[in-house]
Amino acid sequence: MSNAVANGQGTPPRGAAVPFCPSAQPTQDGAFAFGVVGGTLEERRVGYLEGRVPVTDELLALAGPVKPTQVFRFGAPCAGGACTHFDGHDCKLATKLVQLMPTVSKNLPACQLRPDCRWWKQQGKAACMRCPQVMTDCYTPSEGQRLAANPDTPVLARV
Amino acid sequence: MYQYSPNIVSMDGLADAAAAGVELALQDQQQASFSSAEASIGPTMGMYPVEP
Repeated sequence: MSNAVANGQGTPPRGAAVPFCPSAQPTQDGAFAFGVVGGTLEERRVGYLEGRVPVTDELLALAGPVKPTQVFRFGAPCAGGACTHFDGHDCKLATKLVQLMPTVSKNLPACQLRPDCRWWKQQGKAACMRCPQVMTDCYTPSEGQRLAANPDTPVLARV
Repeated sequence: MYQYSPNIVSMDGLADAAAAGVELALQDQQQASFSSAEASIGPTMGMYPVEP
């Protein structure tokens, strides 16, 4: 790992005007890694990086034979209407995350993306307490993740 | 005042954490292939482009 990557050089500053998606693709403009999937197969949990790590060939190479989105969590400016999960006002994925998935953390993860995170801005602590179980891509998602990730799953009406 | 969860990965530990993540992803893929010969990655839990 080069010093530049390890020091997070080239990462976007905090306080962005556009909210950031916390489960972005590394190919998006302005993307950076902020988490790494860890834990066990039965209980996968994201470990949060101490800093924002820019997407470089060196970083992507760390994912080796699998997709980088199976290993890392990336943040990038919300794509808005270019994403199937955006309804013109809210991120439906964030809403369904809170509605369909259990909390897995009693405390807020020490997340470097939070100040700019759309899920945080929209759902607050409820999203953060579920976030560590989110893997952008995996073969064996939980039923809750499978449902939440499916753009055709409706958002439950608020009572 | 919020309390923060300690699941932090240091920059020095990034490569090791990524290697563990790759191992986990391979186990995930292997488990899926036990269940189905045509195992495929699940729906993306993240940015999913609108089809043109």
